[in-house]
Amino acid sequence: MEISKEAAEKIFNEHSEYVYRVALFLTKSKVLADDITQETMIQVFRKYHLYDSSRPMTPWIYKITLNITRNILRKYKWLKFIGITPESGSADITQQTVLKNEEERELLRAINSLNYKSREIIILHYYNGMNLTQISDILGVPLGTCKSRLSNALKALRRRISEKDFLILGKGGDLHETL
Amino acid sequence: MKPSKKDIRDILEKSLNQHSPSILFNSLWSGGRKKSATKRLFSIPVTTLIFLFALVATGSSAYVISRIIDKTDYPFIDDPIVIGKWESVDFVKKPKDFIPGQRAWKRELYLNSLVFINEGKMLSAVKGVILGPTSLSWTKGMILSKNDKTASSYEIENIEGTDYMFYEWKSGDYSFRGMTPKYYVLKKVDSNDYSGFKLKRVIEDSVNYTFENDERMSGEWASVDFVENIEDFNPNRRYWPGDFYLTSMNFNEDGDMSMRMNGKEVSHTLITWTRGLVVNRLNKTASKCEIREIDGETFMFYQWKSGDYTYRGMKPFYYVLKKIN
Repeated sequence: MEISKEAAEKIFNEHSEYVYRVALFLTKSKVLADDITQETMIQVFRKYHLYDSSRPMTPWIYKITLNITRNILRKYKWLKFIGITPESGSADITQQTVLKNEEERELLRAINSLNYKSREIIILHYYNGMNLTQISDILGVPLGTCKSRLSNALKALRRRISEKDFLILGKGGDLHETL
Repeated sequence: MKPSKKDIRDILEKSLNQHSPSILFNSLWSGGRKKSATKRLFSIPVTTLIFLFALVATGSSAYVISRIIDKTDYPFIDDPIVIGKWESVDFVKKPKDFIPGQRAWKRELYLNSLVFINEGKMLSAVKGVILGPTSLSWTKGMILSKNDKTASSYEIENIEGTDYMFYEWKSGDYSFRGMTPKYYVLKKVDSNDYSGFKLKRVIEDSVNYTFENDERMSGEWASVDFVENIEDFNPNRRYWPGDFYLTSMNFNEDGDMSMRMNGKEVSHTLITWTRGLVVNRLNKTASKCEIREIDGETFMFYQWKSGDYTYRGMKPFYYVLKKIN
């Protein structure tokens, strides 16, 4: 069944901003984040008939977002490899954010410097509020892999921030709370 | 601060919630989708592909940034009609697409104005940056950029009693991707002589710092890249395609320092350093120097506060330097 304009608009209004922000966080580029949001929304409208309405829509949309993000980044990697400078519009969200103090800035820098898989799980878990079972479904990896990715991401954060600043995560209590 | 789940969530919300996509539902629904950046990038000319293929076939593994280089050393020829200030009114694919009073370009224009001064000098103002000196120059029918290595045509046409200029916009899309340039349309505002134009300083940093030694900073450093944001730096891939103006910095243990800029050694008693900063009491700037370990190597990110920062309020870029001594 084709999606109606009203339904499409409702989905767009509810999800496009979050899709954009996830893409921005993962690609660090406003241009790519716009492209990903556009492609995601088009795919969502086109594949709407495949969506299982008995399940929540958000994880389905994020699954599409992450697939498109990976494809676009792969294309970019290739273009950069052959020496074609990507379009400007890089977004340093650390510099652009008004933060209370240097510690907050340091934490944001540390999160931004994590590798792609770690950032993927951090954004879905902490920003989009998904539990690890949902994330395992979105990423198409076993739950155990998700747990270890999150644990590794937090360990990497711990390494990047000075020891004294990381007592809670160091104890692992935070990780268990979120499972 | 002891980062917890809440800290991470809060910081992500703070940094991301201020950003929104630029696409609109109605344009997407009606099929007016933007051509994606990747597709735009794939529209590079066949000659570039052949060139790249030839490099691979000949076994070259050098990292290549292909670019178009225009001839820019034209002699100056006067054009009295161009003298004065011009303000952007549109951005079009071709000059014939311009219709006065009906703007074709729906987004904000990047180039705000151009001023043509006698003997080929120019001033410019772009989005977020006030009118000021530019490295652009002009000769009859052409605007030249020695930095970007481009020669753009300009044509002046009188439409319904107003002078309009069609300025060929040769951005990185032209130089690096071989795309056909579009045109800025500028309207003549005045024919004044701007040769006495003086820029007012807009930013003055505090320079009241005393010296504090930092062994990690002291020593000699050489430039390896120049980036817009620290996060743009990747040790395996150069961000800045051009030459470096600043090539090295030398921090002595007493707070004195010297820099090599444009092939010349520069030092001054009023330019000193302290932990995390280069303090320039001549220009009244304090530039951050941040040392980071990346992939097991130490790099310094030095905030480049040129006249673009002090006089035009532009956000500073960063030189990335590696310790050599």
